[in-house]
Amino acid sequence: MFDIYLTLIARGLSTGAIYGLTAMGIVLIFQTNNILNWAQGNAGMFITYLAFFLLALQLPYPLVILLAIIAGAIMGGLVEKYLIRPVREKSRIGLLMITLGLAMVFEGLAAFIFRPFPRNFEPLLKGSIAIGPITLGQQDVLVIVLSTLIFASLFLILYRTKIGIGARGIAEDWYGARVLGVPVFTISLIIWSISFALSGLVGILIVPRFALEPHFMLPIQVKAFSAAVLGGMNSVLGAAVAGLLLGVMENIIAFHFPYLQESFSLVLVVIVLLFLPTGLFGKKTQRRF
Amino acid sequence: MLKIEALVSGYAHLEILHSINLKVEKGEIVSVLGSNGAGKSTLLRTISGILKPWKGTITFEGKLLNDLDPIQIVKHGVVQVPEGRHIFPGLTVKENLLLAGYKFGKIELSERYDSVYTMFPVLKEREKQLGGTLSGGEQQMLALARGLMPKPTLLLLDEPSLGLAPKLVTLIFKTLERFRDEGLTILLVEQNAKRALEISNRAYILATGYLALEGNSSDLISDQNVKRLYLGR
Repeated sequence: MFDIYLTLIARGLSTGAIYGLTAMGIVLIFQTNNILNWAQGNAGMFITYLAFFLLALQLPYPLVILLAIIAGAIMGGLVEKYLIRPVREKSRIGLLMITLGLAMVFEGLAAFIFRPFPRNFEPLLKGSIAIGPITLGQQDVLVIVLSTLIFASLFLILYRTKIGIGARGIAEDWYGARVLGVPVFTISLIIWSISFALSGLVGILIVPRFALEPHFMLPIQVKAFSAAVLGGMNSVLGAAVAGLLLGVMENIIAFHFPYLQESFSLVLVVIVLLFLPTGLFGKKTQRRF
Repeated sequence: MLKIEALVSGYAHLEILHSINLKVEKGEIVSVLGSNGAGKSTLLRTISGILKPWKGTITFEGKLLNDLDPIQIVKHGVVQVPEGRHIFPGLTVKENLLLAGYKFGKIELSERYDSVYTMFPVLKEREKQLGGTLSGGEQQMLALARGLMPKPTLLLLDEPSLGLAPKLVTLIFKTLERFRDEGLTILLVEQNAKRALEISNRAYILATGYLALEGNSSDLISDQNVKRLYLGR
């Protein structure tokens, strides 16, 4: 009996890693731009369609993953430069509509161009492996390993590079950074690129669990939002940990009460926020005057 | 060094500055005085490129700054220490300095840290501390230090004494004099007119976006109108 829980937890970690990666993208953009990016999930969906057709061209799978990440980065950059930047200092509510609209546009375009019926999308790794009492799909292991690597590199970028420290500065004080001559727009563009690149990767890794169709990322987007809020909306670490936590708890709940799986995350968010209004990792910024 | 001619500027559709003429010569401290809403901060924001001039010209060492963005203006050596300091509270002192020296490569950066730490030894001690945990005085020191990081030739200071205890205000103004002695040129916006006039060579007085008065600080400090309106005597 206990063994089943170990397996549930391990699989939950894999799902949670997907939530965490998506939540990190949302938090990065929210922090540096003060915008909720509703399109984080659907950008990944759109890129996954591109990947589907690249795979159909018999390109090697790892190369397709790489191309999808690059496509995401380019897409994120274009969105920042041509949709966000012109509006950012003029209308806050406009920005919210832009990302929401973008999510719809991706969905509509995907249905229009690629047809809305579900397609089967093969995982990169098909088999499963047994680690002691735990049975886990190889793709799940891949997800956990990749997301650990990505998290570590994001952390290095944010704390060890000029661009990352600049991004943290922008997150705290956009005007202050601009006055100092920090290239705020360039950094913002890089953050959008990173976030969309993450969304592309997430799409390809998770789509084999569902089927490729225009709204397969919707549940991921909702859970990732929940994770981002649970994590306090202000730290990449919080997003990652909350994502993992949500994935694990949800998996256990789903085992016992399958019908509660979808609503569970939102209920959990509400409960946590009742007691910890700033999320699990949210901290009030300390400031002395 | 800095020459501003017939400058008109403002926010969106609101004109704040109406045809301002102003110049700063090398090695001077020049004060811009005036009450709240006179347009002092707007002037500095326009020089820094945060706001675009509507009309008129801003030239610095012969180069037109009008169409440059804040990054390029900092690269030209015109650096602003904004009102309210704008310290990044969640970044360490060193990271705060790093962002101010963003344009530099690694080697030059470490030189800049050394030079700034020599000027402000207390910041070296607090290097790893978060900006938000510094005291008000220390935060202002950090703000000034950030102003020095990009190796400016002209420093724009917006209300550096705001909200500080009198003893700290004295310290800040002493620091500004040290800056001048080291060859920096300073354009100082202040509400503390008396202290500003005491350390500056020349001063401009702004009133509702117009230039009301200009002259040598030593003359202005004894001017009856200035005394009545700005020095509170």
